[in-house]
Amino acid sequence: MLGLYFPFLSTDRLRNGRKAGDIPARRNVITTSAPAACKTGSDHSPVSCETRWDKTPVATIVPKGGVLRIIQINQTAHGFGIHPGQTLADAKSMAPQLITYNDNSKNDRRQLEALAIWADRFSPIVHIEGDDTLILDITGCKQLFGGEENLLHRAMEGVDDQGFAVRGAIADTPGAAWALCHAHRESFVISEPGQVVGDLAMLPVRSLRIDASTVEALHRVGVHEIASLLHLPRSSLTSRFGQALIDRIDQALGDLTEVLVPYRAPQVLKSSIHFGQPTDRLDILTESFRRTLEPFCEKLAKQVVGVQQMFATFYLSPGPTDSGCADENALSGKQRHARKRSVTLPVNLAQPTRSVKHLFSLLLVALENQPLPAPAESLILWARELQPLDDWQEQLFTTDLHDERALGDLVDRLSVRLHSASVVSSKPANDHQPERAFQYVPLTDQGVHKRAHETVNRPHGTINATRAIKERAMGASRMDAPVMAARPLRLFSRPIKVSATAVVPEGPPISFRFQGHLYAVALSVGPERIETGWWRGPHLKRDYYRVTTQEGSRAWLFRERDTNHWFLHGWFD
Amino acid sequence: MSMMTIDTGVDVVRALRAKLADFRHNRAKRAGWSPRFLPTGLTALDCALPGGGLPSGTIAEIFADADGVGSLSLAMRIAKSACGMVPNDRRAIVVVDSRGDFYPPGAWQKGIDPDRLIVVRPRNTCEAFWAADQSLRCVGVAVVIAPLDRLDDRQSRRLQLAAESSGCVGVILRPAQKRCRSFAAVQMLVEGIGTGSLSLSQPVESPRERKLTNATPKPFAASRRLKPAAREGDDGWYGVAVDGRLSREAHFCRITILKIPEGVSGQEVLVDLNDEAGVGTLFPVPLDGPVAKRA
Repeated sequence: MLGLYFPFLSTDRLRNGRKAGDIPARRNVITTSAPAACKTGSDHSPVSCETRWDKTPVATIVPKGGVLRIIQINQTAHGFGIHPGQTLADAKSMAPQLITYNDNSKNDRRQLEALAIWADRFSPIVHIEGDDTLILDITGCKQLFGGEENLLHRAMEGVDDQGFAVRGAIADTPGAAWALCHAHRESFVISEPGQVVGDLAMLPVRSLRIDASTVEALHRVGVHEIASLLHLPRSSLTSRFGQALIDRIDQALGDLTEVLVPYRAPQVLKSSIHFGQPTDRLDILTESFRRTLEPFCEKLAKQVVGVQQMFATFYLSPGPTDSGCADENALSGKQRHARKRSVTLPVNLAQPTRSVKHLFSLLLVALENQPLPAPAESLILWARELQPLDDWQEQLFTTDLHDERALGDLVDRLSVRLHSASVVSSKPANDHQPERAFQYVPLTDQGVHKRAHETVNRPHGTINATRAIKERAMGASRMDAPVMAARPLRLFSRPIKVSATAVVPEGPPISFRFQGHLYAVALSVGPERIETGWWRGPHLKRDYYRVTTQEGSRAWLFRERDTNHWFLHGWFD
Repeated sequence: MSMMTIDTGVDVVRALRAKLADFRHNRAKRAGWSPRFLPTGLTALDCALPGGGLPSGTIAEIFADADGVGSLSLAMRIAKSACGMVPNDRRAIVVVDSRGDFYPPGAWQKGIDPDRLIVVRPRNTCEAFWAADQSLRCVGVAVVIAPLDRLDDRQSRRLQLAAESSGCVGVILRPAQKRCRSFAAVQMLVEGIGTGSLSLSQPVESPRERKLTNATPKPFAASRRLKPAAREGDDGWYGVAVDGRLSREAHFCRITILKIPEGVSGQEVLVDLNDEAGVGTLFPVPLDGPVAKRA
């Protein structure tokens, strides 16, 4: 396994040639033609840029919690002692000549993907790990390059030629390669086959790809290096730090196989149209949808594929004030939105399709939802993930009496207009706490790969798209759900505190007051005791009662055993 | 002679009503067999409804006079019986969760299949109404349950037409304070019963003979007795014995049918919503109760 770590990927990318969208945070950019640097950076000489860059500290910033924080730095800034996570003010005090750019993780990711495609020449399996590392599986590739050393040399030279700082390592397992290239003192490391434990021994524990909280917990216990970590008994590690730590150790040592998912450049299918003059007239835009959809669907038909997620990007004409001299930073958020270059409408579907009629209706709904801030100059329809779709499935789209197809249509329409996370199906979750006993899974999610950061968390059931896909893959059965006593049909996401009286302090309530109304309890069934494990967060100890009031309403009340407060959690409506 | 004229008049009205019902039914375009009436799953209520259930292709507005009286349970029962009507039916049940507090495990316990339950979570009332409208138009949906507080004439007419076009049943839950005439074909009021006012030891009289057109729900046996069981243990609950079976945790409520096509309005039934068999329901209001009003 060969690991390549790019410690200064962002700043190197910025130095090599700024893409559109890299907005400098301040006026004092290196070159004299200041605002021109916003556009595709080809109008400043790279040579002068580089030499001055090496001497100047550069960092990218992002506003977090009301304060501007440093995210990525370059070598010189590192030399000054600036580290990621610092506030801009602190960093400036250390190095007043610091140059800052706005953080653009999207372009960084694209750069890493481009490097992964370039690294294809060394190995067929190139895996992107995290935000800044490539892991290549080089079993069988060494002979082609005349040995491991030569291979690593060539790889690092190639990266260097492209203008990126890199640290490389070769080891037996991906975990070890990652650890060596990140944390080893030297930037060129080759670990002998079978010497994994010895080479990893002196590395710090953070090189095991575990999260910061576990690293801190280990530091508190006094474990700083992997050698001491390996001396600890495994069973105690599991209970204290979780299975994840054990998995990472095993992966690094080779006891647990880690599957490397090779990165494949997505093929993008496109169809575009250019308007004669910028327009925002609805009839012209809808006609443009029709004109681009027909060739788009034809291309899909030629490959016998369908799309489950597609995008329509309108490129907007620049406004009258966009001459390039204005200071981008001085604009308010609204003005910045009004001067956006392009607007992308996403369309998510429940099932793959290449029906022009269906996609057209969904695009119209999407356009209604998101009006264009400026006249559009051109339209591109594009899609990345293509699913195989046979012809006989296609024919069903034309008949609207088939129930399944109609239901799929309905889900698509609702998802586009509301939000794909608003049309969900429910799944049991293995949790005793009533609020978490179920999970909502978006219906358009089945089959489409969603990035890990697109999750929405609510206290009332969690929507976790990627976890849902994994569970489906593993075939999670309904038998995992705990057996429950009677549950109400309406449950508040947060229990509401009510004042209740009970005859006995630990007994059932005889009356409670909610929203100004006093309910007298006629019957109550309970208590049902629900406790959650102390190791999972706040320790809940609740005694639930199903009460019937004298007017005939049925409610679900609970008493918190620690505080003896009563809460109304739901209605058996 | 005059009696015969009146009878003929009544016959004419009845024949016209039947024709109107057929016309309404033919408007519902559906693939496959569609039952004209959807039994609600509660025997007493089905007896009170002409045809033995809710007409398909309509909206039923259910008004609840307080939280927790059982309107949503009634809606779930209707949904569950809709699932079981046609074999190999893969139609979905759509719940528009406009209040934000729908709890799926409660629905699973009522017998709803989680794979057929779709929950829509709109952000405001506009989206909720639009989602309900779109779901009602879909042929692949069996029942749409939507709590909508405000529903004016135009909106209720639109929902009614949407249901007629696809043949599915829409259940709109509303608070009783908003009770008014609307374009919904069926309107019902659900009220909680104060436990003091339950007369449990009254013998049942057989209900009046009613002509049932399609479905044949089980008729009431004349000798069903209900008596309170003794206090059991220290839990502080007592159950209600029906036919010798103890019914724990009954959820009693009174359902008044405010509006029903081709039927008499104003009928009240007392039901136990938690009874799975649907058999151990209470008796309808006896003959000397509130006078049945003509539609």
